[in-house]
Amino acid sequence: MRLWPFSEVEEATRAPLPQVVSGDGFLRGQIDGRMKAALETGRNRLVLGGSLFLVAFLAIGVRLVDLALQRPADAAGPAVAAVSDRLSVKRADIVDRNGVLMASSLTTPSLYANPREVRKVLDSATAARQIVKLLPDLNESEVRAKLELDRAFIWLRRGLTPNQQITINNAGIPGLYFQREERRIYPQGPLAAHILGFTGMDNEGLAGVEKYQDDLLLNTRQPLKLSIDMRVQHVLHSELARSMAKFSAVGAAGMIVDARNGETIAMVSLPDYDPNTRSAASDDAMFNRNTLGVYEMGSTFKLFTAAMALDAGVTSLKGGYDASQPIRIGRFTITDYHAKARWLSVPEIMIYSSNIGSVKMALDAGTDRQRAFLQKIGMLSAPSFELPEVGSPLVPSPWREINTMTIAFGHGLSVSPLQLVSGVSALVNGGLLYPPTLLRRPSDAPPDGTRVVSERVSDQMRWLMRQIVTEGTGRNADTQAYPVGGKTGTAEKVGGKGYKRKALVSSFVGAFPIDDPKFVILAMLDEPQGTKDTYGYATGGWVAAPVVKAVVSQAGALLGLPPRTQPQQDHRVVEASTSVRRTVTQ
Amino acid sequence: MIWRTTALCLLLAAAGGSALLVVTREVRERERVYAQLQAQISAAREASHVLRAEWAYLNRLERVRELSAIHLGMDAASPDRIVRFEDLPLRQAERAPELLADNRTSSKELMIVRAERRQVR
Repeated sequence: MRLWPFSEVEEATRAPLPQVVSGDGFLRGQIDGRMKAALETGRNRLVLGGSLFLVAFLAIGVRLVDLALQRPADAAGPAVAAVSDRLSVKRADIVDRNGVLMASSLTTPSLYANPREVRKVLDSATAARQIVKLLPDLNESEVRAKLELDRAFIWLRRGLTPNQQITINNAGIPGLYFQREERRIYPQGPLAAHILGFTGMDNEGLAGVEKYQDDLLLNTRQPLKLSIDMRVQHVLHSELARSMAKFSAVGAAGMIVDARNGETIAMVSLPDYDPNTRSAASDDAMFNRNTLGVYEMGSTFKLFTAAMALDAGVTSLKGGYDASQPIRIGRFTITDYHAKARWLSVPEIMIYSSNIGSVKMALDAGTDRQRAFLQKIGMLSAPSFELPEVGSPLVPSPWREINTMTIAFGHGLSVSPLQLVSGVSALVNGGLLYPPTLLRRPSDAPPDGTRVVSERVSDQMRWLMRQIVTEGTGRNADTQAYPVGGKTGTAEKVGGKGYKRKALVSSFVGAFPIDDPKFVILAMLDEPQGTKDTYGYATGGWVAAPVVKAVVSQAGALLGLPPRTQPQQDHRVVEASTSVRRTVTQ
Repeated sequence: MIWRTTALCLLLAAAGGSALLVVTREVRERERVYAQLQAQISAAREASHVLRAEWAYLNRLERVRELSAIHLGMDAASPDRIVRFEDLPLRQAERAPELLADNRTSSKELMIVRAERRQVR
């Protein structure tokens, strides 16, 4: 390509055309050559210029297409999609094992004021009067004091109803504004108050599952599924409340757990509170007796004494102890409540709830063995549980022989009902201890249990517990549809100097159906008073066992257990029962 | 030749430009509708969330129990009212007579026969 030199082109165009002389081939050739060179240079320049223009126009074209395709900055297209597949609330819901809503968050308007703006138009007294007229639960002098502050922002009332918002808006008081806020609501009211707990004004968990799972609830969108069954919870709640009223008790507690995996099905502590209006609740109502309270459980502990002795091989179902004389140690005397004053077999010790027999059984096993067993079955350390309110047991230190003796019948060692129930579950389910939980365990992954007693001992314990209900102190707990096995417990509360005879903690812990236990249940009443119906008695067998009966007969079907039309007995239980009866009658 | 090419190019550019404009407008319109729908969905979700909470509140077991006691005269079911399906006795009139004569036929088989007959009818 020829673009250079310019002088040559100029020369070629400026130079007069030479006269064409025919025949002069040389000259003509020379002229032709110069013209051609000049033309080529010109064409090449045109091509170059054209290409430059082409590039420029292409650039403009591309930019035009780009502009046409570009969205305006204010139209946020796909960004909307990302927002709309979730709710605007930040805290996840809590549901029970069947998906019933237990806690949820709603967006509600909150009222705030800019006092400076308010005072520009109205004096603070008038404004306060107008505001209190619309929101009668506010205090006029407090509102007025707030409006007199030299600030640009003060909360007046958080969590308004839509109607309140409209009336305030319509009133047109200057300087008042709304802000959308999240508010936690508990549709079931007080029913599961101690399990759920509550949140604070700024949506932070302050108690219960709300506190323990705070991070999880804030970071996941999926509802948190608990192991609780609200229907069973309701049955337990209403029966405990009824019994508490009937026996004028100061409190009550109850639990139902799945013996096969440690899931908590129901957990009620009374008195309770409504987490929606918790500011009105007393400290006593906020106290979770099941997990935070520790109690001397009384005779229910004899189950552990018997299991320990049987598992260690110290005694057998055919063995027995002399319970004819009270045991005197130091200034204490250990007697029997239902004294038989004779030699008692191991089943009889359980059936008649003999303190003397249990003490002798524990002494036979020894202090070390007792402590090791109670450690293994989770009585000596705080259990791991998905609640912040978990109490530590009160363990004697040093653990002397007298402690061994009293602990044998459930005094001198205070544990929470949660510990008791999870320990009893291990005794009846074949001997495996599962950590208690409030969360639904995946059904395909059964938890790992720790073996605490052999399967044989577990079998024997089931039989003993059934005997206590059919023959002994637990008669009031039995239902025909769902055979119950369990143990009553009555402990005197500690107060002043020593134990108070009239302040009892009466309980019943049992399993149903006892031939193949699926669930373990505990009912406990704090300081019940005997009535005419109970002949003045306020012991576990009279006040707590009927609660178990009522709950089991109502909740059995809800828990998926087919009611028995004929009383059934497990063949192993029958075998054990015949062999023991032989020994008892011998 | 060159004019024709130029004219063709201009025509193509104009056509392309208009098509682009139309498509762009349509896309914007659809995006607007889409955003609107998203907002509607979001509002509906919010509303259903509130309704779910309200439903749970109205279905409080305490309240259902009270209402059923007042309006239906119902109380907690005792276990003897709960029977397994296979334990249900058959009604005399519905029993198949020829099968009933045969003592070996179980109640379950009878039920199956009955169900089959109903279907045929």
